[in-house]
Amino acid sequence: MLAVLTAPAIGRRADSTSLSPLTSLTELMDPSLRLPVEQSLAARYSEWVAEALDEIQGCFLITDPDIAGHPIVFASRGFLAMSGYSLEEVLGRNGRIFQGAATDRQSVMEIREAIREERTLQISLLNYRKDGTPHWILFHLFPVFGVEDGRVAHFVAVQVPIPRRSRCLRSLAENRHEGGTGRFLVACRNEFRSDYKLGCNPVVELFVDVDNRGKLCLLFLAIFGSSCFLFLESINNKFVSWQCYQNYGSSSTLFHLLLVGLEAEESRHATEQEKEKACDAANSILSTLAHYSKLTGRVISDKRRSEAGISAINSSLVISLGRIKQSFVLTDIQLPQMPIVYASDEFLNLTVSIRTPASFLCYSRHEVLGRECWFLNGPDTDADVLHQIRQSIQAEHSCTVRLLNYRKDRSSFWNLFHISPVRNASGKIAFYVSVQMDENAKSNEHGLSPHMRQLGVVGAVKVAVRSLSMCAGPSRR
Amino acid sequence: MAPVGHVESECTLQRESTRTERCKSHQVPNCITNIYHLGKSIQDDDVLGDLPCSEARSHSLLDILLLSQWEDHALKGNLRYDVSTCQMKIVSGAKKFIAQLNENWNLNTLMDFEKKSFQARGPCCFSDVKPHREDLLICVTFGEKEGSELVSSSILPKDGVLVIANANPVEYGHIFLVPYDVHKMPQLLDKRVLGLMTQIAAEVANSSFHIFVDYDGSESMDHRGFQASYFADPLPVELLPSIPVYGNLLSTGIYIGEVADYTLKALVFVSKNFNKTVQVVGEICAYLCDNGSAFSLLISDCGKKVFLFPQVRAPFRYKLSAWECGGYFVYDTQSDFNHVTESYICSLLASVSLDAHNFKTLKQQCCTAVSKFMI
Repeated sequence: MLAVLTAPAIGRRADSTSLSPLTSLTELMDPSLRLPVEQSLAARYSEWVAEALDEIQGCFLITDPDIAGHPIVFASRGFLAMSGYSLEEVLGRNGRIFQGAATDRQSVMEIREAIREERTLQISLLNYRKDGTPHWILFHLFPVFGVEDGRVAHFVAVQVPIPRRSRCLRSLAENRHEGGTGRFLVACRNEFRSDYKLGCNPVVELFVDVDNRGKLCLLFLAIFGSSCFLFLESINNKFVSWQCYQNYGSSSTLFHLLLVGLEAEESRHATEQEKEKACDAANSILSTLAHYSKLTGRVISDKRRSEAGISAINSSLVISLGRIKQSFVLTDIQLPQMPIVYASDEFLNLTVSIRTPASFLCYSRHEVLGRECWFLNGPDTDADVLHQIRQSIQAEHSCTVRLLNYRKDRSSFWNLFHISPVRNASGKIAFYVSVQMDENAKSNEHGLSPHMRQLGVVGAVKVAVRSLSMCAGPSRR
Repeated sequence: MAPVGHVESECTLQRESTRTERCKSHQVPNCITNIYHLGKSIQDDDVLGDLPCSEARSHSLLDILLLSQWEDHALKGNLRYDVSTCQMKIVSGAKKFIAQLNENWNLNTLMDFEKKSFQARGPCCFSDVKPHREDLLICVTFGEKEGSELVSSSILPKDGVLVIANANPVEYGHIFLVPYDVHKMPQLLDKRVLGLMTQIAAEVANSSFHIFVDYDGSESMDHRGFQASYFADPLPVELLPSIPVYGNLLSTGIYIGEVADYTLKALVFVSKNFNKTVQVVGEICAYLCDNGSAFSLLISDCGKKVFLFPQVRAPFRYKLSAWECGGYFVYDTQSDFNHVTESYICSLLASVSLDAHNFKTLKQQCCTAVSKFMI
């Protein structure tokens, strides 16, 4: 007689300490992000939207691609319950914290591409809870566009758990393969006749699941003493592979590791019902957001308007630019007022008042975007230098100058200013990037001079803007 | 080549003497080089470690250094053309191959560079560096300390990698990475050099940064350099799924897969511990070199993924470079650019691909190679 142990009975989570959580959860979000993250939803959908979203059943996250690091700005109660995290542990972090060692990298790339291309994606994904255990979910991602500017306001990620379906398939398999386990034991004896001591009866667990190619297979786990054997048999009765794990310590650790391994190696497919569930949740969330966005006037929709006022900077570019930790802005020079279409966090910090730093009196992103790029200049800024900059822009050249600029409190500072044209994949100039550096703040960090750091910014921006996902952008020249 | 910071040592004059004595002096006169010392800490085994190359992390020092040196080089007018003026497009079709129209680029420029560089038969000597002094951006070498550091010096280290700008770039930041050693002739595709290249990729830590090398299987070009470039988007081959050939990241730490649905039969090696990848890839490259087979390598995903494109070597057949194997094609005429189709590219890839039998042999060879390193 075989003793069949079911997975929960072995204490699947007994040794969860052997698989420690994959993120350092003592580290919460970057404090400088706190305000933008907390205000992200309220600014567009009003303060009441959080309550309305809490009433929607299901697990979902909302992220803001305009904030550096593309952080989570909302997590539903269902999500927190499913993942085991608290709200504080999740807000301000990027969605990749739920991925882990066995998450399929191909799927991660597909998600990245969907974000880059600002489109909807539905994909099965292996995620990890706070305690380190993996679980499969159907991941449904969709963008929400601002109607006025055509830019992505937020991404919503709905998650529907996909449970193991081995139990219901087991009887099916057993019916079709009577004596499967018996055959397995015979094979064991044949394989291991002399090599292993098979004195005791093995403890056997049978799994039925689907392999990478969607074929049903039977997985046998047999424990002989301290050794464990894993057998894989495809549905047409051929043994396809086996692996032996020896001396892994306690058997519960071993089962845990193997179950993780099994979970990780397979892909898991969602049923139609699960996909529908995801779509329904997505629609509820979308209509809630659309409804509340009317309160602030910053209306959203699930479709991007084809005509956009200011040149559309797509969210993947914003994410790439967010990696550049220096003060810089991108300007669209096609429009006569030469508005700023992107400003880095460090640019905003550059304008912090020095007299009363505690007040953090500096420009906010909303005060800067759309504003003409000369707004840092003031009464004593040298007109000749400004003329030099304008001439470089006319000639499509870059230039480096030193000019007097003003902070929000009207105190002045000397700005080492470098401006350069940036072309997109069409080969035409899409923007100008200007990099600022406060002369007093300059130093040779890590052996790199300030001017070199500025050029590094230009290089990074040029690479990012060259992306083909920008093809929809401006190319009027 | 621009000085990046404070000059720490003085320039010394080159001694007039015999070749061997000149080789002992590592000075390139009147030339201040930025030397990047790779830290030791990156060597560690990283099993459950890093997640895919992060987008949230800021640019690494080496990344900023390469970008800034390149941009500075370009601003000084040292490149033949501005590659960002070249139009790009996605070729319509499922594979999303990328085509670039670049009227200034042609294959010959690459070959000229190699002829200029690699005449030396003996250990690399710094008179060999002179033709490239204008285009020398930085030098990378193994450092002694835990962390990486950047110093300025007129004395080049005795071994390392010279980073030289390609004046005919295929993309932004197109550079040659030339390994050298004053004491011996570097074997181009040995594990040490592969390890160094992978470490550089990991240190740059930018998923746009790709390193390639092409080996054409013939005896005459025994010194082919590595190249690297920044591609804003992943190359088409990187987006394709793979069919497992060996292992998985959890249990064996290294995964070898066959790229699915690609007319050029290719393998991908994935591991978070790039020492493992280097060992295996090094073995396979040695095997291919011994058999006189041609191939290209592409190191991507910050050193975690290596693509191997084995190619059929034929005297007058068009041989593909690694970025072409990856799905990125450069055309120098408007009509070629306009009329390129996915089916044409697929047949081009198929024409250099190994046949099924030889590819199977190669896969078996990979499994053998890996099992040597798995305890």
